[in-house]
Amino acid sequence: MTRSVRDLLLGLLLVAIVATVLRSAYWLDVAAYAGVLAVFALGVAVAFGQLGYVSFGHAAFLGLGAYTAGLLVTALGWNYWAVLPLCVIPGLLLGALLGVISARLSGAYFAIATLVVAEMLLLLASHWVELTHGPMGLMVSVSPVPGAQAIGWNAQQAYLAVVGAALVPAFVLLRNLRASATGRCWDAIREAPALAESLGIATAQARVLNIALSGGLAALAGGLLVPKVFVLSPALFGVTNSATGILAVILGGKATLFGPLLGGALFAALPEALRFLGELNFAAFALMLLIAVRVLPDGIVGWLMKRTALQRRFARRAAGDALPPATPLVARAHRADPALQVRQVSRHFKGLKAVEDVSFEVRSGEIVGLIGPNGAGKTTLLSMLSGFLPTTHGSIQAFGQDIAGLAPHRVARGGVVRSFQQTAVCASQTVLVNMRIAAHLHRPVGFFGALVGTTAARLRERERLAHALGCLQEVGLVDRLDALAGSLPYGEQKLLGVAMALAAEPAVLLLDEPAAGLNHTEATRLAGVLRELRAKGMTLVVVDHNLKMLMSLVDRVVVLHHGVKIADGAPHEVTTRTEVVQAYLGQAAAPAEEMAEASA
Amino acid sequence: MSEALLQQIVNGLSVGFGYALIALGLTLAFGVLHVINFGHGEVVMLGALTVVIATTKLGLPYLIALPLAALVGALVGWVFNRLAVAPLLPRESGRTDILLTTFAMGVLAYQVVLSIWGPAPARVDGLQGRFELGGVALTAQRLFIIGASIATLLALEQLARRTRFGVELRAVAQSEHAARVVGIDVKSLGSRAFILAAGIAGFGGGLLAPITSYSPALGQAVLIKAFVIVVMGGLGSALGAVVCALGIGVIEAMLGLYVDESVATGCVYGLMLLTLLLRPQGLLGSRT
Amino acid sequence: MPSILGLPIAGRAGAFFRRGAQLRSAARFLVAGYAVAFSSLTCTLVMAQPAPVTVGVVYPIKTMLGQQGKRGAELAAEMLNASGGVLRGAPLKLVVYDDNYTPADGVAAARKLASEDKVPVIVGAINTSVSLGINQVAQQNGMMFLAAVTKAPAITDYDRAFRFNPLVSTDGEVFNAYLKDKVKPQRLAIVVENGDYGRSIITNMKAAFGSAVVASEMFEILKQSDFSTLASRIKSANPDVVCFAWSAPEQGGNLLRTLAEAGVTAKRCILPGSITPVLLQVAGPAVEGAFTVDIWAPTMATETNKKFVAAFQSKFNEMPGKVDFLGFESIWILGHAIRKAETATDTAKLAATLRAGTWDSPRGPVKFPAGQATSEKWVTLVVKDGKIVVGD
Repeated sequence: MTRSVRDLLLGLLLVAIVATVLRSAYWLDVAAYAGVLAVFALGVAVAFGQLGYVSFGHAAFLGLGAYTAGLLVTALGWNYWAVLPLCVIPGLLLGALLGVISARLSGAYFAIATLVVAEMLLLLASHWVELTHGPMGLMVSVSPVPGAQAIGWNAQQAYLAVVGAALVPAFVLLRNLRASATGRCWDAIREAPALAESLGIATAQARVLNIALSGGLAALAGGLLVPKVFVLSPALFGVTNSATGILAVILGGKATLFGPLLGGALFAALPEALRFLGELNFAAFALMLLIAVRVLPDGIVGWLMKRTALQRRFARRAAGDALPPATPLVARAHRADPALQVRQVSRHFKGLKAVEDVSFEVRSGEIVGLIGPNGAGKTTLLSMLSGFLPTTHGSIQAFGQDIAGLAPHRVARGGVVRSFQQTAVCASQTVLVNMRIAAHLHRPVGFFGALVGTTAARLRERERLAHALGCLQEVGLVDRLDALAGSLPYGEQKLLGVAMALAAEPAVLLLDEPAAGLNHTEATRLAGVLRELRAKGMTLVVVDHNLKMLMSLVDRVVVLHHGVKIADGAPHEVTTRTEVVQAYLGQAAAPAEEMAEASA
Repeated sequence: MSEALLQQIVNGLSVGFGYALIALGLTLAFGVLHVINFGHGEVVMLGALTVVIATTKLGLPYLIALPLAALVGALVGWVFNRLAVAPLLPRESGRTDILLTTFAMGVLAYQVVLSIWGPAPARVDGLQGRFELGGVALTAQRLFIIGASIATLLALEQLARRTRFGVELRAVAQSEHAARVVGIDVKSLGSRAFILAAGIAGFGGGLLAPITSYSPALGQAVLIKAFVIVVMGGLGSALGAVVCALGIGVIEAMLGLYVDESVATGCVYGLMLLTLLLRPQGLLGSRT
Repeated sequence: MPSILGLPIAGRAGAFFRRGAQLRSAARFLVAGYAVAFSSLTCTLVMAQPAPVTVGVVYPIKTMLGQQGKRGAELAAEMLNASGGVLRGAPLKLVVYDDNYTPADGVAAARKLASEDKVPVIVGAINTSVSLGINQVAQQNGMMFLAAVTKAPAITDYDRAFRFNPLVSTDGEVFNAYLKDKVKPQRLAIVVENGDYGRSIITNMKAAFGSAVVASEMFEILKQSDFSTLASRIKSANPDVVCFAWSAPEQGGNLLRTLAEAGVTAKRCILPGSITPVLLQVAGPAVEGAFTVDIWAPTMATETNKKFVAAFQSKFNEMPGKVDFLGFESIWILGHAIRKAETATDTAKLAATLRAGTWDSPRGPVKFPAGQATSEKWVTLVVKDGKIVVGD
């Protein structure tokens, strides 16, 4: 029995026990409401905790789900319990729409845009009285749960059971998703979106999927809310509900999935428990919130995980999983056609010609160095080669395929992967997790495989892990598996960046100043790694200022100056040319020794 | 131009200026600290409450009560800052946590007011008198709002350009890192900026109170409008906040002549979304 | 022979007194005897003091209206208990919960009252959605529900639920009749809040006055604070009578003042329930001359009303408003119904008693045809010199 199935059954059993044991209609009601808010908080957590997008308008989904259920029951006369799964659909649709919008907006703008969307839906519900009865409220009659009588449950117990039956699978499936490549994509997008793109992760689609899921879950919560309130009113779309969702996630701990669950339940149970305070119950609640956030920055569950043995037990279990043997990087055969063909590529920024009419070729299996003084346009060129910047003119082809103007993740899938000048690793994750993110393109798993956790999916996971380990081995960082990426010394972080680029299975690797900031030993180590890669048949384009290291490494050099290519050829040949020397050192005749030494 | 339309434009301007002050506080806090104060509405409410208490219980004239409202706003801002903002800024997820803590502070303020003062609304008698100019009626209070807001905006402009505080504010808003490098005490500046923002908000509440009447729910009513204005104008852009506030005030007023008030609000929301889709950083905001 | 509590003492006392030596023990015996007798009597009295009758009360107690409802209810309970309780001397005890103006909290409060506090009757609620939700819970648990303030028609679909505030259609009939007879509007403007109350009023008045209605406007409950646009539209429609309805006095006050500022000089008629002392405070001079027709006014001349208003003023130092009155009336009539039916827990019998009887209330005699509290007399209220007075 897989872990998912086991946890699913355990969860459902727990719900059944609680439903049977609780007799009081009041406490059953509170428990059911806690379950509904937990589902809602999970929905918010998917977008906020996992992807990092704050939404002040999740009540829009809540209301959509509730009114969908309510309208289908009252207008079409369908059975509420049959209608319930359908509530998810409008949430998925609106979520997908918001996901598309999230490409343009981020941070506070996205948050407030979602708030406004919820407000518009509120106005719509208040005024389309023929449909929704507006503020008069839409009364929904809920027929008894089929089969509840047979088990001996009353209506309240059956309701709680249904809420649980929605919550437990949602939780288990989300947990699977989070541990899979999809979840890792979300982590990457949250922490380092550019890196994610360069590794072949289609960030736009991943965001749409994430926010759609988030919306669907929140809408399900809305649908589940109907038997609790009896009467639907436009206030469901209100800011208070949206705030409840976000606050529940922060309070519970947004880095986990169990945190939002707990947060949602607390938000349902605490105000009831504080009823004895009479008028002051909300003030007490607000005070508790304030203290909780001040004292527990990671939320309650986050704090518990850090403090207690739980964390150690989880860590031990993860270590206990035997790592598969590393799959070493396979050598590639050289191909006849050129790896990269750059023809008359230009990039203009409103009058500034950053790159002008550059053409060169990179043959399969060679290392080409791209050099030039600061401001020559090297990084701009590299960004165009990898899809991060569109070209103004010209074409770029990789093994005969046009890649100019494609989105970076498409270019990565085409076999051209870049590394970044500033270290772009997910600093708060371990090296192992970073590598798993990077192995995204290797043996991809379908969405449903990841969701359910099929054996095939798990096998592929192991293959991917093996591949990632192989890439780590290539750069010599295998013993740093469990270190936090952000805590590695600078040189090793850069090596990690190279390893991650490798894991994306490139045919052509574009390295942007990989030796910047490295000392002599580290630079030599890097050069060794790059030579090994060439030996395995990889094509490399390296931009760097460390001429000594570069010249010892490359087969050919391309020199840029003020955006124009001024030289192209073997290292010793290029470095003695006057134009090149002048570009670097100015008009005066350069000490040729400097250059000669470099090319020695 | 018809009389009614002109009247509406004037009305819209008076409301818009009031909103401009409120939105200004919000955008100032964001521009300098990059935090959204979810309790901003309650600061406005407390400013209005101050004017109520000052004019009814203490018998002070309205014009004396107004600066008092600003002072109370600043004081509340100080409390918010000490409890809910400054201690969380250094945290990695500080900005999101501040959403929560300022929200909690807002709820607390609201509940405290409910417990002590009660839920009853109250009238504030501002400036009395009406002027009629070519068929357009304008009360003295509305005229005063326009005047006082313009004066405040001009004063703030001078503050931003001429004083050291203002220059430092702009520096931090542009680049916190660089400001630190040149020796600006960013932490203290942030606190002072927050307090200033709250003071302006309190003042705005006091200005609007004679028109809207004070009620504990005033804060919540104002907050969403303030958010819309601030986002549309560009978070952190003072000019953007003012321009959008006026624009929204006038547009709502004009639309209100032909359609339901709530449809007008819906249109304004739609306009905001459209603006953001075309210009994600707001009309006058800067892309970071 | 003197006796105390039926215990003859003379003989024994006399005999003991004759024997001086046994005096002390005799006295001790006597004291002990009286002590036993006295204590057993008080014990019986204490045991005979019945347990209080608990009744659930749900209001949005953090809002203006909710507090008013709660105040009225608590005053009624006090007055009932001062006059001998409700069930063989048992006092009436109120368990008050906050519904926070949302259905979720209202339903939770009702469920708590049903299964934890086990009350037989719930009284209160103001918001329609909340009231309907509580009604469902009451129905599921066989409890009685007295909807004190809401005007929702669907309440009385449940036979043990009762409504105290008249239906909007009833308001409309009485009000429109008054307008037609006494005021005779030629150009009528209607300004109401966007809620069930407001919308039904527009429908009713349009049906009653047809083409005389020249403008109808709605504003958002609690959200809208600037009415200058609305005022401009009303002004351009040039009405001679403007009819208003709101539930939040701050909005009502703003509305009246903004209209006055805009120069609208029409007669202001305000629909039942919207003229309250708080409104006067918020609206100031702008409300002078406004009138309404309602089921109750603080200055109504019935005996019960005089007692109610006096007690209210001495306890809270202000004049009661309509919601104070409704909160009071619902508990007041409930208490009397419990007395008459001699049960609080048999809700079927209690409901039947309520339906069958005529009850005394500050507004006069009240009957419950089809669960709706109905009184015969409606009064006109006019605001004169800053006070609410009964007109003709």
